[in-house]
Amino acid sequence: MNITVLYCDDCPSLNPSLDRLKKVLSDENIKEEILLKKVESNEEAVKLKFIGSPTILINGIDIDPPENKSYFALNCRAFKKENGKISPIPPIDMIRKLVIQEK
Amino acid sequence: MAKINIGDPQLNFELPGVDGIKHNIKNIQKIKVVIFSCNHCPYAQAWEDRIIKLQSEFSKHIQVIMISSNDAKQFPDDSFQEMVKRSKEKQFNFPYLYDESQEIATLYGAERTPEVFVFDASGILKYHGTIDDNYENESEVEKSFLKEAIENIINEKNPNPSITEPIGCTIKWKN
Repeated sequence: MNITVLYCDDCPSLNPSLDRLKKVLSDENIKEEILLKKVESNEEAVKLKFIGSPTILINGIDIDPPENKSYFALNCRAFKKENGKISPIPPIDMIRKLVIQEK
Repeated sequence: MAKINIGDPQLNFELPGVDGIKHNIKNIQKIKVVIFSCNHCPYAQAWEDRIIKLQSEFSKHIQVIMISSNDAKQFPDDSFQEMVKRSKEKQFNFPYLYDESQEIATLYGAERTPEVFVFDASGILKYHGTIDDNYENESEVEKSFLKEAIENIINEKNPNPSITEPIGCTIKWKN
């Protein structure tokens, strides 16, 4: 399994998101390393189609596939929780769903 | 880093609001809760409902003034037109002002969205920082920093803490 996390320094969401990802990987007994990739500029964000930090990719698939209207920039990413509220941290079930699918 | 310290007088400003009116902080006689925020940031969105609630609960004593200073060229969701939409959708019960030149964010030394500055009715800074300790889940908040600061100021006490770390997106400066 290839696990990549794109992030930028502008946003404080990386560490709490990594904690959730690590918890899921541990629960699912997955030992693969997490590859961290820092996005440094808006130009790089466009090139990598980075819509915000963190972007968690499991085997290249985004845990929360972006809508067409999303734009690429150094920014915090918004995740919609099941109750419809917005969070800067991906819900653990969102991560788990794709990890199990790609296991 | 904030350019205004606890005990300093408010830095006055006049900015256009989504209601089509220019708002001047000088004209507000209540406790002033100045919040640098924006449309697009998920931290700002996560706390919006709580800000609306605070304005409603303490309407006799406080006036929230929300300011967006973000560069709308880089972040189109933060344009004035989008601010008007957001304010209507969320039924903001406070002025939502546009700091297009970014002069006021610069003057205050604000860096994050949201970032809160609370001035007492006489215009002295009494609290600076974040809203509470859980942006994700209101029901799991343990420290309601802003609410407690407001209650203290109403009771003519100094907030404790008077400074907390603002948590959120960075203000998006023009290139």
